[in-house]
Amino acid sequence: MIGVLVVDDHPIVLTGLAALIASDPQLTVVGTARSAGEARGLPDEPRPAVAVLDLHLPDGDGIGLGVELRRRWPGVRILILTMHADEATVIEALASGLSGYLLKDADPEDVLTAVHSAARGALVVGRGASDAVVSAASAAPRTDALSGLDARDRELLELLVQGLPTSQIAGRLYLAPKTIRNRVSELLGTLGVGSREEAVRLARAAGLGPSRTTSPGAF
Amino acid sequence: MTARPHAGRVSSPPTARPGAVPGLPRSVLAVGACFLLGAAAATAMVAYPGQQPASSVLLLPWPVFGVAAGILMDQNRFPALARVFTALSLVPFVLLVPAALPAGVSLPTPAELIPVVRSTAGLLAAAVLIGVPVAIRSTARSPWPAAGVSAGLVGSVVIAVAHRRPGVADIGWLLVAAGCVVVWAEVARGARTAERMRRRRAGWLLVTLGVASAVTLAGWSLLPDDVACYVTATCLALVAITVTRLCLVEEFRPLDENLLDLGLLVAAVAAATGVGLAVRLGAGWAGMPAPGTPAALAAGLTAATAAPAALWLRRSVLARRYGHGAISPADVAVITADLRVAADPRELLDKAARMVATASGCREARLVLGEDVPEVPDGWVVHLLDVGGERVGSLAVRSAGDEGPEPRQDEVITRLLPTVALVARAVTLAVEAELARRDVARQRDLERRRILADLHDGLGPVLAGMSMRVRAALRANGSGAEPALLADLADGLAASRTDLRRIVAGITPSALEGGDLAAALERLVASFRDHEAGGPTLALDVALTAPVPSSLQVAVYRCVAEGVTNALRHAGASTITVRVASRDGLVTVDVVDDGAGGRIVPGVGLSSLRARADGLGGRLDVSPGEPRGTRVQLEIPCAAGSPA
Repeated sequence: MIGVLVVDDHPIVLTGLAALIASDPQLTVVGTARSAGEARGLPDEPRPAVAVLDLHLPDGDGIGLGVELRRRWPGVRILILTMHADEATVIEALASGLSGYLLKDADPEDVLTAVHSAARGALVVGRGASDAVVSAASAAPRTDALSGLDARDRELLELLVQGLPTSQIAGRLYLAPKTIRNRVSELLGTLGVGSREEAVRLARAAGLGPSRTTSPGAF
Repeated sequence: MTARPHAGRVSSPPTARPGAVPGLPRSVLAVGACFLLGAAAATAMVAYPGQQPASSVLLLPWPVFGVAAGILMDQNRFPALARVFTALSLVPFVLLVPAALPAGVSLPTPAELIPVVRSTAGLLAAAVLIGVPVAIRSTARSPWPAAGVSAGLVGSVVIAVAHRRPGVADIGWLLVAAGCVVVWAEVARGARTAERMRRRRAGWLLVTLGVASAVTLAGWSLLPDDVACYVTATCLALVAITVTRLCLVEEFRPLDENLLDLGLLVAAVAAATGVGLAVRLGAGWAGMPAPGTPAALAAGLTAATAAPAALWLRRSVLARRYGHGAISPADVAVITADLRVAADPRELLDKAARMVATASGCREARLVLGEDVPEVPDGWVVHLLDVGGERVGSLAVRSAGDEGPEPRQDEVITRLLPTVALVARAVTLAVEAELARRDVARQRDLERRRILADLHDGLGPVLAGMSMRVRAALRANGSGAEPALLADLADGLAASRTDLRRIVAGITPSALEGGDLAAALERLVASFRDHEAGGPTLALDVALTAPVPSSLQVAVYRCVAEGVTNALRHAGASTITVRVASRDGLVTVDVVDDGAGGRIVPGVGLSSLRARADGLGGRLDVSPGEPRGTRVQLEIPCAAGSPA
């Protein structure tokens, strides 16, 4: 029998997952917890072979807890289960020496397969990390560095990203260069950066790409 | 921007001439006293009882200089010239003094005045022809005017001493003439580098003095002395009037325009005279009884025809130089009509600027929005545009010459400014409206994302937990629950999970954040294939030739997501074909299935997509497919350069 520890703050997920694992004759639930604190308070015995952890816990994150549990029970395999799958988290989880990563809304059979694979020592990058699902799951909103900007600022930032000097930006927007300089410093203030270069870097990172526009001549 | 910012100038409204003080200053009163003395002396001589020699007339024009001096003093213009004029107004009085002395301090007779006039003629000529240009010219330091004045003085002394000996007097006159030439040449040299209006004033001064001296000289050499006196007096008065006017006028038209006027006048008169003479000769030759009448008639007719022709020629030459001087209501209508179709309303500013340039005959014009005044290079002039006391922008114009626009062009531009300001205001409003529209669209997207994130994070785990629970029950045989019901529940939950994922993916396409529409569509379609094992064949064909602005990308992405979801859900199709293409400034999306077809009731997804397409100036059509099935078609204009 493979002992499984389940940690998830969502009661329906916790009971569902526990029931699902219990329904497998080779698996047994050795403990459940709804928070990282609760998980730490569990007795040392029975010792779990696999821990399935939610990524987002009310008092911490699953990756940190997983690392902690591995110190407590060396050899325990850790699976991160989450609604969100973005590449950075997948990489962080695997880099921390955890055994796998999968999406909550994967097929329940896949979840069981993943637990078995993890118990055997395999690295599980379940369907949750496959391209199609990553793209669908990454549909969940991310914080946007540019969300504080209005359309006027964005227009200006796009021209900055194109690498245009002030005079040409002024020409395209039909404004005086002085107006542009003022607006750029306002923009830098809104973005909380110190220079145009930083603003451009931030914009590029947020996916603001160059687009082609026609330009009237500057003076 | 050139390396010389601030080099151009900003036009300012005309201000009152500096130094014009209300009330009569003391200097004007002094000039008035001089004028009265001179006028009294002149009147005394002209009104002397008995027969007058014609030379008395020579005293009459000098008081005119007094009036001119008063005007100049009052306007505070050219004080040095005003002093020269004041001195000239005293001439009749001063001449009386030496004439009166021999007679024992009594009023001399006009005949006694003649030798005095003769002996001072050189001095008077020098005073007018040399003194006036020296007084009027700019203060550049140069030894030449002093040399000219000295030559004039020496010459006048020679004339005064030897006016009875023609040979010696001629040497004096030559010296005076040499002084004139030196001073005039100096004035011309200084004017060449001077600012435009001073240059033109100097030109007119030299023309006036030159013509006056030529006419006077011709009068004395060709006409009887009596007539020459009248000619000289008239010339003197005209010089006083013309020079004063030159000093009072601020703006001069280019000299070549006056030459053109003169040329046209001469041509018209010559044509009329020529025709008149020809008719007169012809009539005389034919032996007509009164040959003068047809000749006069013909000359009159020719003049009447030549006048409009000359005016037309003049107008067209001036229009070429200064433009036609107006922006018509039709022009404004063209500009404002384009507000609705232009991708970026600001492009209309170029059009308006071109119209201003054409109307005012300037080489180039640029419109700049906003309160800040642009820095312009040399040769540009900035006019500020205000609407209702609010600065809406600036108009910068570059005239053909380096010295800025001619006064007449300035006038045209000033007349156009209110119209241009309204155009700038309209464009500003259109830009603001467009930005506000984008802000609203983005806010709506953010709000949607937030709602869907809540949906995803709230409903997702519930569906996942329930799916696991049902699957657990299904796996635990003999739990008492009906296996068929559990299997149905498991399928239903799986479908719900897929639906949720699709809704979230379809409406908040952060998959597009990389900016690669084709790749995002590929992933989207792949996700449908993944989850519909045994479902219809899905084909995707993307042919995008130009980059698609990101606001359009979202619409395209959603159209594909919605179209495919509809086809999967309702059609029972065996193939679904998705085509995305850009051509002729349009982005088109075609989602065609070969399913059941039939009437389509647009759901929330299609309806909101249709609203979005309308907002982007495009349209969404749902129509029956050929031969069966359904076709969802989206068309959005993709203007080059329309930013996201």
